[in-house]
Amino acid sequence: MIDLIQAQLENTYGLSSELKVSDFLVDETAARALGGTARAREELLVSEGAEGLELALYLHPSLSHPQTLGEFCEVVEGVSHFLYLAHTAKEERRVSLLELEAQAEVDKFIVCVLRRGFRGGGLPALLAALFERVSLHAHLTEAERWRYAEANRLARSYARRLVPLILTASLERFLAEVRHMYRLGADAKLRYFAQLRPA
Amino acid sequence: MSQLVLSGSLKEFFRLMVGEVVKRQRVTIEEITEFYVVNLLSDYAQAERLFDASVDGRRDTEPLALLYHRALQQERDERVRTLRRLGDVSLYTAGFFQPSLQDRVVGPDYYMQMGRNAYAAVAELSSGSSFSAVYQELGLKFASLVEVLEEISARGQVATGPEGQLRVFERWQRSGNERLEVVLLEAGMLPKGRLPN
Repeated sequence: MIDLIQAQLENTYGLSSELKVSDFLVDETAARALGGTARAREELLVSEGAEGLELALYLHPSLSHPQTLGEFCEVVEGVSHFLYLAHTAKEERRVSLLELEAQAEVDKFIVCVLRRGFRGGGLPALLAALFERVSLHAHLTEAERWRYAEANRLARSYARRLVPLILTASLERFLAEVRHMYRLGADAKLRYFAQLRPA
Repeated sequence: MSQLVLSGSLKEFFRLMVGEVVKRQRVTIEEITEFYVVNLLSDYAQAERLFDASVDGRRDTEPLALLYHRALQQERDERVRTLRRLGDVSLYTAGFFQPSLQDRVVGPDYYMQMGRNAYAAVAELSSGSSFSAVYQELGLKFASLVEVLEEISARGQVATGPEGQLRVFERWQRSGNERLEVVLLEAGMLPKGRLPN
């Protein structure tokens, strides 16, 4: 499952990563030893050492076989975080948490759309499930809630702008658009998400 | 109204106006918070303080998302300044430009949420300082303060003449907002006796 999601995101964005996300999975004990909190069912662990960035991904055992859209999206979020951090590290660029979260929200939408065969049917329900009927974990702080809510809002704004490209089945334009978006820097990307004109 | 305009400085005008509207709307706020709002209004009455960028020759404000994003990456002192600006811009925009926000994808609720969160965050970051309580009150009573500013904006528009009066009238027709009704009633735009005692 993780390998498939990674392949899908890499193909969509035209990325070529030498890393295999599934090789960086750790269990709860290892996650805690690496400084993780295990508060969430998905957690990317990052440490900056002398030899560069070290990454590990914790996924709760229940996510190994996702049964619901929500669980599937948690896995996508973990893979998205991993790939985006690896991508920005390669570009020697710092990444902000808001940017990381907003990108993951967009990635969930894109993976779901492509897995449904890039068809317009069911788009309103998908948008609602991903961006409107969202509940945040009780353990989050106010600051974290604010950040997630804003990331969700920015991603929703962008996802809605992608809808015409999906409805007209313009896969080539869709890929060109999302590849352009993926490579934007933090400020430019958030400004791009926030703007209102069609993609 | 004319007395207020003639009363001297812009700050004095807003001081009287805020005091009057706060009292009328029965909003309970500390004097120092009221003073903060007065300063905010007189600062932003000078357009260049609100608008901070020139896009295609047009003045514009930085999107709230970018202000927020910048704040997240700053050290404490700078972060406080940016979050305060985020709270101020949200409050002023939600209060003074509410009608134009209704037609945007990002509506008044978004400004309310960002403003409330920003002031709450500033209160937390400056806890222990004498201003913390002001920001806390600004966050907690954000919605009431937006309504205060909305009425001040309407009163200002009505005072500019027929065109402004018409705008307020149209807004009242669309929304049925009772505060706007009072403003129009006092300006003689509506026949007396419409409101229940």
